[in-house]
Amino acid sequence: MNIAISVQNVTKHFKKNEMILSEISLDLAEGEFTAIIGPSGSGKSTLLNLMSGLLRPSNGHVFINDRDITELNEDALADFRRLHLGHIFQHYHLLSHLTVRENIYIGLSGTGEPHTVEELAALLGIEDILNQFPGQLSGGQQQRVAIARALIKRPRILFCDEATGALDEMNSKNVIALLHLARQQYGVTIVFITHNPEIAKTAQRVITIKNGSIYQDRLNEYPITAAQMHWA
Amino acid sequence: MRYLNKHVYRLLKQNRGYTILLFLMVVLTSFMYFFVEFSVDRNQVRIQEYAETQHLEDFRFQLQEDTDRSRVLEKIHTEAIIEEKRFKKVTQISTNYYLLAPPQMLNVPYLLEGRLPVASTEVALMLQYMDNHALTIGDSITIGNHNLTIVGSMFLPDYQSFIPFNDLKQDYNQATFGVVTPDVYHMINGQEERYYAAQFKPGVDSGSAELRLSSDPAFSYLAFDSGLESSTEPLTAIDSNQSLAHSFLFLFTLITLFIFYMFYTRFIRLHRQDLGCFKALGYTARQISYAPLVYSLILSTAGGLVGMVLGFFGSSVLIQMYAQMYSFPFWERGLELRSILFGLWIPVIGTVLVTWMGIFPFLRQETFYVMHNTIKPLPNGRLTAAFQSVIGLLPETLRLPLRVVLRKWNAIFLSATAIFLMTLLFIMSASLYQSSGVALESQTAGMNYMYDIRYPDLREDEVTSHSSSMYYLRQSIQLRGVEGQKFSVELIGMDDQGTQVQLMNHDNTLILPSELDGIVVSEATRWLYGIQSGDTVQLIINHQPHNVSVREISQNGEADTIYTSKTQLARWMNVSPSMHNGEYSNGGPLDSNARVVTAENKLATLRSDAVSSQSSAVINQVAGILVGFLLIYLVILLNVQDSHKDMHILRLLGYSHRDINRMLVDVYKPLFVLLYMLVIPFAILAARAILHMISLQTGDYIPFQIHWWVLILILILILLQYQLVVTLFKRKVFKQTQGMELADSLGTY
Repeated sequence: MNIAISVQNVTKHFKKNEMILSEISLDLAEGEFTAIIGPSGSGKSTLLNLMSGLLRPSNGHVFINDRDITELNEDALADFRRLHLGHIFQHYHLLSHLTVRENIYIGLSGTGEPHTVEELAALLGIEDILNQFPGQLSGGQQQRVAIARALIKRPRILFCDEATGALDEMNSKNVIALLHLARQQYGVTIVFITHNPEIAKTAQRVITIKNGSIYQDRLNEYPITAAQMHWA
Repeated sequence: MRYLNKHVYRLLKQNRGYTILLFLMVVLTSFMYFFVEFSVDRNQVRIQEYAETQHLEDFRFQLQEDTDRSRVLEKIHTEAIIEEKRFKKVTQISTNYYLLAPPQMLNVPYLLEGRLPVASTEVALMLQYMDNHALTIGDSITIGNHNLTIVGSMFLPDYQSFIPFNDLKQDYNQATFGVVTPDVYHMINGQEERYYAAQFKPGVDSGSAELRLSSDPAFSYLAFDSGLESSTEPLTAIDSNQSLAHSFLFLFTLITLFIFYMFYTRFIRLHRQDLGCFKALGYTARQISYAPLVYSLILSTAGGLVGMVLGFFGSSVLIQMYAQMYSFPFWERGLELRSILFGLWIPVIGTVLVTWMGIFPFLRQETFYVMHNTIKPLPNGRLTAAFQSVIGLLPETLRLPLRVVLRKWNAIFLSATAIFLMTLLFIMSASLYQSSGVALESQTAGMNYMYDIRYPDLREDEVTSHSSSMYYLRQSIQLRGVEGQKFSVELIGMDDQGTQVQLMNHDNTLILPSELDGIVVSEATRWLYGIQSGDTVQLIINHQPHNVSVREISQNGEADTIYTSKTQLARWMNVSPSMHNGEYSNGGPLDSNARVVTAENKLATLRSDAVSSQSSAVINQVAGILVGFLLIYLVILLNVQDSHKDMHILRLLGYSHRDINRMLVDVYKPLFVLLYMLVIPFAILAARAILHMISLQTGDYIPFQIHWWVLILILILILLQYQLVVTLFKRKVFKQTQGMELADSLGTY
């Protein structure tokens, strides 16, 4: 098993006595769909941000494909993210002044062999809206565009922060299904933050965070499909 | 990168109102600089070249009556070329003609058209006079009994400013120099002035020669070219205007940079999620900063160039003014490369740097912080809390507007800057306007004579003349002030037998110099040199120092003049107390050698200075209105943009447009009044210091004047400007809130 992400003794505190994460260590395998769950304020988003290089740990190291990203300076870290990592956010963060096509293009890293917009648009079912602006799209469409933006550069790892948090059941299921499809087709490693246990059931591995520590880390031997999810 | 830049440009372009304002600020900064610089740059070099090739005079002098003239002249001749200069003043109806025979070696007239006269029926006149009177070559004029044909238009290189030797400054509307042939010069009757002009010979060490000449008692008058107002005034004026241009550039650049900085900090606050998203996608801070840096670069370069073009056209006003005021044939509009670089690069580099400072440190933060609003509370938390407590005590209707006003330190700072600049410029303007009247009044009050007659030699007083004349002794001296600084002033020893000149103190009591053991300093002189009553100063009279006490400050009297009794001055000059070298008289002069300045001429000169002060007052008013309008506009614009969400909520809650305007837009009036009260003392001090500096630079008496009603008027003007800007915004807000309602009804907002 190849290790995609290795988190070693990572601690994070924002203020002096406010510990968000404490001595976290874990390894995530390449091509795996990992769900990180936990109650609000448990530190799961902070862990994702530390793994994706959006935050720096107070102590400890994060290795991505054997590269210690905590040692990189801000520019080198940005380059690394641009080349190897993809992000999907809860509120999509599409750029309102760019069309869908341009929003997808902006995710390109400039190296490697990227997907074509048309290929991703076909996969995600957004061929008809490529020339529209984000303001003209529904939430589900916007998140699909965000997935396309994250995938176009063929990232090794895709970080999804509550990626279905702002969507209804139907759209959430579609997004989860698309992410699994992308993982299968392109071999991308996916780290998915959610507070929804149904989504976690589709993952191959589920890590539960509580009070800044790993409460549970288990492999899901029988993951369900997106269509099988029961929405509360 | 292409789409990154495209998106950031679009975000920047969203702030159209602010962008226009930024552009206008750069235009204004650039315009104020280039407007002056275009009229100055080439002319500095040109005037210096003119002095070197045409003016040629290094010093001028007159000799003491009892000196062996030929011996002294021979001695000077060993190290300098000397040419005797003579001119006659002929006053005719409303024109003073200063006639001279063609100079041979020094200060040869510069002919613009035609030629110098060769026949006894010909004359060449100053170009400005000819222009002002629509005279052309071939026209005839009558001077005395002589009918003369104009054969040339000319400039005199030694009189670039029209201050004829030993006379008052003249106006080209009412006076001209005229070159005539030597025979005509001798035939025409007029009051004659003589002096020697000299130029050091090549190889002479002018520095040590000047020192040697200065200590020679043979001279009754000696002045070096650098001290001659008639030849140095244009260069001094344009040098001082250049300093003004640099001050404008510095001041306006600072304001512009502050506004740019505010723009970008606000831009970041509004678009941090988009910028953070770029970072999350892997774009570096440098890549994201590129578009704002280029935006600032384009904005400031375009603004700078537009300002430069406007300055080019605007400078023609200054050039025309110089051409009217000074006699110099080569006024030219132009710029040196260094001025272009200085005027464009400073604002451009400044704005790019400020953009970088506003954006780059923010983007260098960890991406998480860029994306999420984690602004730390301001360090003035206690101050804010104190304000909030005070506001809590106020009536409910005032609470929201005051909280809106106090939520932004930068808007308060900008308001304070706007109020300070407007107050300063308006106080300067009012002071300049009033000072012209005060200067006129103080220099003419108590002056009850028609003629100021000055003799080239000392004469015995005639007791019988006392009813129509008041004798005086006059001597050019040097005054060393309390702090050791030296000034050239006129010392007048007054006879107390007449009433033609009466000095009054500030209690309106008559001052009789004969009863004082010391000197009287006019208010104008006090203002210029900071001399106070009771000070002990040193007078250097004929190279002899005398320590004297300042006994009184007179509210009237001429600038650059101090007074004492005639007996006292006679003692200092080592002459008999019954001698005089001038008289204030109501009867005409009997001696053709006497130099006469009429009260009417003096008044005309003072009025001309008054007009100049009043034009400066208008410039200050216009600058005050422009700067004030732009800054107030910016303050309200920032407030309206930041209140957009609040407006929407209030509108949803059913508040009327009028209520929303009252609560969120028209909220700065109390702050402006308060700031005005706070800045008044500082603005007064600054205006006073600036006027004093201008007085010293120009030698004009521009007393600082301020009245309580002026302060009220300024406040009204500021509030009127504010109201005008608010009215403009009320319309805008009405349209915006209308738009919100429509969006709400469609459910798309």
